Amino acid sequence: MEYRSYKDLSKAIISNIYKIPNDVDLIVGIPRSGLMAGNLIASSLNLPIIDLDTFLSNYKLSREIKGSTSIHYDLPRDAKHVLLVDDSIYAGKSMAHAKALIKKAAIKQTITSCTVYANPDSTHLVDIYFEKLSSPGCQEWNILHRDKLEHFCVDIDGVICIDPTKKEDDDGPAYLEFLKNAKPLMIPSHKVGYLITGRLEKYRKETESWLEEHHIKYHKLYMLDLPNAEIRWKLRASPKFKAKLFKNLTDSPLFIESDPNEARTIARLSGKKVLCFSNQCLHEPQMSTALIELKIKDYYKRVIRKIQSLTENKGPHYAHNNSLISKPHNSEKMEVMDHD
Amino acid sequence: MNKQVKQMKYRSFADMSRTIALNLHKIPTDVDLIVGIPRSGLLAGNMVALALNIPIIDLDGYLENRLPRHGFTRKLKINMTKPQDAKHILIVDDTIFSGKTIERVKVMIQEVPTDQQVSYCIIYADPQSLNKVDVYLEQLTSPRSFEWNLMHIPLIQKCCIDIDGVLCKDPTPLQNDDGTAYQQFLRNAIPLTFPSHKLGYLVTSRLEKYRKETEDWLHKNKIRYRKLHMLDLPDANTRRRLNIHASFKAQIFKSYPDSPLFIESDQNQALQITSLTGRPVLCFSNQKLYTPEFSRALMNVKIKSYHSRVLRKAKKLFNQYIPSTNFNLDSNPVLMEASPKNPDKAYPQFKELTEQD
Repeated sequence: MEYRSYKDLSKAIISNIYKIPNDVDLIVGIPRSGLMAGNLIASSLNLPIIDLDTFLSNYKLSREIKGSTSIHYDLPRDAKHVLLVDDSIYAGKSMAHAKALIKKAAIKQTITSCTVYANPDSTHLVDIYFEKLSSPGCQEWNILHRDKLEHFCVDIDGVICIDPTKKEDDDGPAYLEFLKNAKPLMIPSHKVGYLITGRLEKYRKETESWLEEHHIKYHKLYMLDLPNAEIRWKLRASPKFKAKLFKNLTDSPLFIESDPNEARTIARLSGKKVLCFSNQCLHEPQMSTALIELKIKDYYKRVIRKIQSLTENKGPHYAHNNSLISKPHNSEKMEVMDHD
Repeated sequence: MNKQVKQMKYRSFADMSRTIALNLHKIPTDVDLIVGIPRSGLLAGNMVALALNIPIIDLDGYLENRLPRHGFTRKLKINMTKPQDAKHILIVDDTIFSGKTIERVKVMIQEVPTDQQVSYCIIYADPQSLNKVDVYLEQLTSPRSFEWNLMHIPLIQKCCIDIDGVLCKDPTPLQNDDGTAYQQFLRNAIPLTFPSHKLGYLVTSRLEKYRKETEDWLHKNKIRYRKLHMLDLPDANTRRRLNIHASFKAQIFKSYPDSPLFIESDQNQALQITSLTGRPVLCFSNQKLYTPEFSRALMNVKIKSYHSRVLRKAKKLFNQYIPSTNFNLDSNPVLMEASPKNPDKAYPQFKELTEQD
């Protein structure tokens, strides 16, 4: 399973922006996520962005839409070259629908279709695509709103509701208050596969009633069966508990966890993919071993370089006489070093 | 330091998406339509709408009461109605400074003949105008700049900017041969950014002998600039041996004391320029702003993590010689058996453990 965050999206757009023809002077986004991708392209090229309906009905462009751009037309139909943007293309249904609507409205302008992510089989359906992405991968903007969610494992605190503060996390009356009135963060629109939380089993009733109050449907709720929070902390049981359950749930491909450190531990212990919700990093078990190898290599390189510099008995490269590095510059450099 | 310098702040798309995702609880729960103020407010509004899974429309669409559209791939949480029939709308903009835009929008909204509830939401709000909005997600004082407008604001006229990796794609190792392939690259480099203002000072470690090709390329891509600084060395080998990319750039950056920001493509060079000049450097490839405080903090964190690693290692060695009485979770056979099939069986030993205590 592939995952793309907003960061990946903006990177994909920046490094492929040259693929867009030079004479494009209007961006049209297919709502909703296509409008978002189109907006990133528009702010990079400094062009106006409108949604598909505005374009089809030819509404006048307002002052806000024009903004700081340097365009000279007032009606969308007067633009010379239009770029039709969607975020991804899989079967091509949305794009075909949009194209049919445009055909029906008898628009004669040059129209180029463009998607950021394209399935390898459907690249012929669009004029421009930025990156190939096999299977309908998950993206940051739809991860909790797709029907795939039925198979995922999801943490509660930090994903579905906000984390308790230190004061609230007292395993007593303040914590009970928190459980009752926790503020929701990202409410999933589909049935969740498995809710796996480090909350203790004794708080099951409060947790279940909170979930019901916020209309969250789920397959099963797993809680940590330990007597109190102090023992949980002593044993550092939370990530191990989550990893063990996740490993045994063979039909579940992804765990969505809020804490970066726990996410790394779960990925390592379960050998499966874990998405850290708070920094949008996908932890893969293979990746972590590759990372360790890289680190070892890097360490050997550093040792070898050190040995070489000692045997050659040469100073660092900066020591060469060069007119570009003047003396005051050097002294200031020393100041900075002292400051550190 | 005798003068308090206001520190530059920078937010990328990724930062904004994080700010939104982690502050969603501040948004009223009964909101059923997002209205975005074009262009960047529409982007912020779009991120909010996708996170809450509710419809979004731009300001004009709302004022003219057009039906919002959404894709096929996912179902909305609520049934869609005409925008002006929604119960509670949230008007979203990315930033607020003086509040002029929001006041103009408020006048426009007041003319709409409905009695629905209207809330105003700003992602990055300046402390002086917090009272003008209902919800703000983060306080951010100026001077500040954002990934989505960096190349289109007047500030860019004073910045120092690297060429390779910012204005055009970096050469591949094959192209970087200091010969014919490199000249070919210089003529046909792929542009990455399309600034709409005159740029400040271009500072590149390309060699002075390639000035004509570079100037031609900049002219061809309609990039205007104040001055172009190039490295005056005989060939690429000398440059590699001296390794003065960062110190050269830092020296030029220092000679422009009013320049607020250096935009550099390489992460390591960005860090070096920051520590040499003590001024903010934006790394373009990972969209992070490096400040002297940041690099110092980074070093502290590294030292701390090194200390904790050493301590952990020492503890491990110590435990080998003195058998620990600690309860080991991994070797507990009961926990190994704990599976979704028999969750009731799990952890009886823990209970015994506490009873003994």
